[in-house]
Amino acid sequence: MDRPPFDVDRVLSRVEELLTDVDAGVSTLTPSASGKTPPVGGLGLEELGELLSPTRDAFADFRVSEENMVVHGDFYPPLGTGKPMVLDEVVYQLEKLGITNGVLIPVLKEVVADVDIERHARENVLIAAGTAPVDEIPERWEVLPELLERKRVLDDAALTVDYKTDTPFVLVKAGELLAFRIPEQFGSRGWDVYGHALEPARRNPRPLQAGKNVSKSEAGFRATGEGCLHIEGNTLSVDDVLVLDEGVSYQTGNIDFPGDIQILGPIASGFEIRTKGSIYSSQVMDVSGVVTGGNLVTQYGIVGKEGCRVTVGGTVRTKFLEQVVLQAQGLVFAQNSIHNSLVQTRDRVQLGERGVIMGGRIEAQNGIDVFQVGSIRSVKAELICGMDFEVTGKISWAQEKILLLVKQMKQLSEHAKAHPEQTAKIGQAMATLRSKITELSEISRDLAVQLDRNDEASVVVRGTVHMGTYVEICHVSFVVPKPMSRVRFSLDKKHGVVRAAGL
Amino acid sequence: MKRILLLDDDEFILDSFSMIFTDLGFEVTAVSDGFTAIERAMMEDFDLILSDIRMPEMNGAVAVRAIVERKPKARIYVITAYPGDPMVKLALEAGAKGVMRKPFEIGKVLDLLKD
Repeated sequence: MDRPPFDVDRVLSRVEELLTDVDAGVSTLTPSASGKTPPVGGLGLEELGELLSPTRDAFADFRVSEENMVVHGDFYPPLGTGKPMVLDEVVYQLEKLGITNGVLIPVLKEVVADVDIERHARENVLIAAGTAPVDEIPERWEVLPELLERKRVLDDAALTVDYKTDTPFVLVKAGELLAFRIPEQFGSRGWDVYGHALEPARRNPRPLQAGKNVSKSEAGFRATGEGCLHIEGNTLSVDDVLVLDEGVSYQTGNIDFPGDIQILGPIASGFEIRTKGSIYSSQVMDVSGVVTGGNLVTQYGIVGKEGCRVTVGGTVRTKFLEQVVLQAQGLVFAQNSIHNSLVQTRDRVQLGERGVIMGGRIEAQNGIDVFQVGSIRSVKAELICGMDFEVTGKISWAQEKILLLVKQMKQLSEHAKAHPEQTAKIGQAMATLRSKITELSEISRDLAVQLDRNDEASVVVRGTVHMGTYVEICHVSFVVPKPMSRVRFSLDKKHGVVRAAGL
Repeated sequence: MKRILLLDDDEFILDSFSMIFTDLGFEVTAVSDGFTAIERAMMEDFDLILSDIRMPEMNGAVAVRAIVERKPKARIYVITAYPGDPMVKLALEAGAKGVMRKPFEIGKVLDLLKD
């Protein structure tokens, strides 16, 4: 289709209209003599204001919860010349909805003021709440809340939580109160936001029962023995055996328990276990410390960490000991081996049928029985028997202290020579040290009297004992000069020497 | 009063031992070389002789042998940090009765001398 031809006149006419319009507009930019703002684009100011700034009254929306117990509201300020919010109107709106109970007038007052004056929108404001019914509960017993809390220990020095001491076990002592009486709770009616009554329920909690090691009286539920509190269903009991199905880890923390302990799961490295009872473990014990008043039985072995100490009040039965410092009162039995360990017992050390001692030091008051000691290349072991390690240990301690004190005295003495003006002061200090040394010496002498010896103790080697092994019986020494087989080392009291005789 | 002869080249050991065991009621003779120790052991009777093993001029094993040859009933213990030291074996073969750990063991000494 062809374009229409260019019409100059029409264009000029349009330009003229535009110029007229602009001129008209320019003149309206200055107020007219009447003071009225002339219309812009044909619109009055009011109409212009409406067009540019919309007007809206303040308003609110409400939401009632499902169970009709709470009402939340959203409140919006007026816009432009919209009407402000009025408290009475809000209340009226609520009433129209049937919400008549639990209306929080003070909250509404505050919200309305905020909306009107500050022109803030307020959303999700709780404006009404019903009253819940109170259930009827007969008199009952409840476990003390503090017994149900998990204990946590804060290490103030390190400013950290010591997670190894964090334990889920609640330990109680004999006589400790476990549960207390809660009087009957009378029920009362409740009301929802619509003013509907809510009848109270009647609860019948299962009565608390006393289980093992727990007694019930008028005064309460009490533990009759020491142990671990156990709550199963509604039965309270105190276990004098702690069973650790999951072993020992950060879940359990270090273990400190008065009764026997059964460890059926793995023992994570670096944890401590203490008990007055006995310990049974079905796993390798890789621990930083064990103290037991009873026996220690492990299905596998015990591996020591640096600084690890195992103290046993009874006997020890294990597959192996590795780098362990062990003190026991009774028999120490290792089925397979004792490697680089210090073992001290007031009874015997017994190795299994093919049991081996490699390196380390074994002190057994009543003797040692082993299949093999050392090897060609291994570090030489020391086998000592006949003496009470506890008393010798105490004397050694006193000795250490004495030597330290003597050293101090020597230093002071040299100092006195260099500084004669301080002789009096130094003299006093030296006198104190001297007196302490004398005291410790006397203690050592008294302890030495208690040194119990068994000069019948012997070292029995059913297989081979390698050259260089050190044997000592009642302070008399013997160094194995060459590999020897099936031999008993015992003390020849008459001649004061250790004899090696064939088995 | 029971008598102890102590042979050690370490002055601290000599001083401390003398102080402690004198306090405990023993008579202590402390010497720092093997030759003097042998001489004293010949001239006097001691209830216990303690000898260090590793010393500069004469080692403990040699001192033990020399004393035992002249006085077979001498009761000698050697002092060492390590009972596995081969010198200990030599000393025991030479006639030493036993071993004490360095610096010395009060308990052991008291026990040996209480008989």
